[in-house]
Amino acid sequence: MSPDDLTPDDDPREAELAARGRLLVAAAVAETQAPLALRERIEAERERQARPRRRGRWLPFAGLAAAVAAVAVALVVAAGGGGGGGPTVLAVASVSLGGPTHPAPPQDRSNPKVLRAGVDRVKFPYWGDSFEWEASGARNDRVGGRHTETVYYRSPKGPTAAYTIVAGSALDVPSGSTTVTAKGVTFHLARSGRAQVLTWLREGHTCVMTAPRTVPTAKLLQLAAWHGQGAVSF
Amino acid sequence: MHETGAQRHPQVVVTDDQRLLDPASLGDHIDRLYRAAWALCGRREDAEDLVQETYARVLAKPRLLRNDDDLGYLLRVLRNTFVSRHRTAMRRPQTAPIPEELDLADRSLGTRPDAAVEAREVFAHIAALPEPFRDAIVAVDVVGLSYAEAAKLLKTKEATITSRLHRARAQVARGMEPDRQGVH
Repeated sequence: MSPDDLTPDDDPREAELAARGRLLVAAAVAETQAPLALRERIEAERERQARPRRRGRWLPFAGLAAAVAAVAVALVVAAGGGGGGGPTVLAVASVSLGGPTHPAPPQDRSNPKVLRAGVDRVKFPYWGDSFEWEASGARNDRVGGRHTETVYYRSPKGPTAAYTIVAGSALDVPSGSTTVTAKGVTFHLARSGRAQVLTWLREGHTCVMTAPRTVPTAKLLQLAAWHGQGAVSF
Repeated sequence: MHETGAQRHPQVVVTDDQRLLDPASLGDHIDRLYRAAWALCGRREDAEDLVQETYARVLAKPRLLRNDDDLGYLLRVLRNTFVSRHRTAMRRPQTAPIPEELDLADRSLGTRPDAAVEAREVFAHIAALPEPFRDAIVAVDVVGLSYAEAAKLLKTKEATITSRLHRARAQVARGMEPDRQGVH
């Protein structure tokens, strides 16, 4: 520790100077704002970095990315630790920010109500015929030690939703979320800003669907609760 | 498991105690980072460059944070960028800066000319402080971090922050006394 790090002395002159210095700095801070030109340059940089590398291909995903980002801060408070050492719903939802990394899985010809992708026996639904929500991309990750599979679905009106299935046992439900039952399935809904995150169980696996709030919650519930005439297992 | 050969694609691993920094929220901190940059550099033009470079670095790739302290993270990047730039500048031939007095149209300051001049002088005095004092006053008084946050950022104790802050404020006030103007 240097002499300058010692506890401030009781010299009244020094104390008076320090008090005056504090006021001077506070006044300077209050007087100073970033120039408009700097703000514009930074905003341009942000937009440039956010632009998809392959222009237009994943454009509908931009809204989803913003939505997930918006909900992340809220859920970091709302979500407790993951059950059984698994990830939180926040961590699972945040992975969607990365966007699709490979093409959408195809429809399963032997079981046309589902896609040829999933986790264990839990397959992703095929919503193309019934709702015109087409699978537009996919990714897989490890989150908090768990394998996750995500399929992105694009709505007829443009917005994209991310549907993730988490391998292993069920995750903890985010505290503070709203519980909703639809078609006999219990859903937990968290909302914040521009985002909504729906989580529920299918055959003991946690499923997480994240979408912008521009997508009606009733539509999300309708999609998530769809049984596909028994082909989509719960 | 997926049936489309996904395993050949890169994975993003986010642990439980992490979250991704939201680029859309970064604009909320421009004013505070700009003031911090000015107090570090001592010159408005350098401050603009430093803030822009800091944002470019942060935005270049997804950033995983372990807490909610976006501002603390940004200030750390700003400080690291400043140190890096300073080292680089020291290796280059030195050029004389344009005197601040010639910059009559400083739109980043308020409309009161006397207050604008005083703010400029305050930042210049902060920039001239010894590094430990400068960093403490920038973190607490300029950016608005708590003593605990500043101590964590600067990897020191809160008591040390208190001491350095006291002396930094006194030195700034002393430098602003009429008979000492221009003496650092």
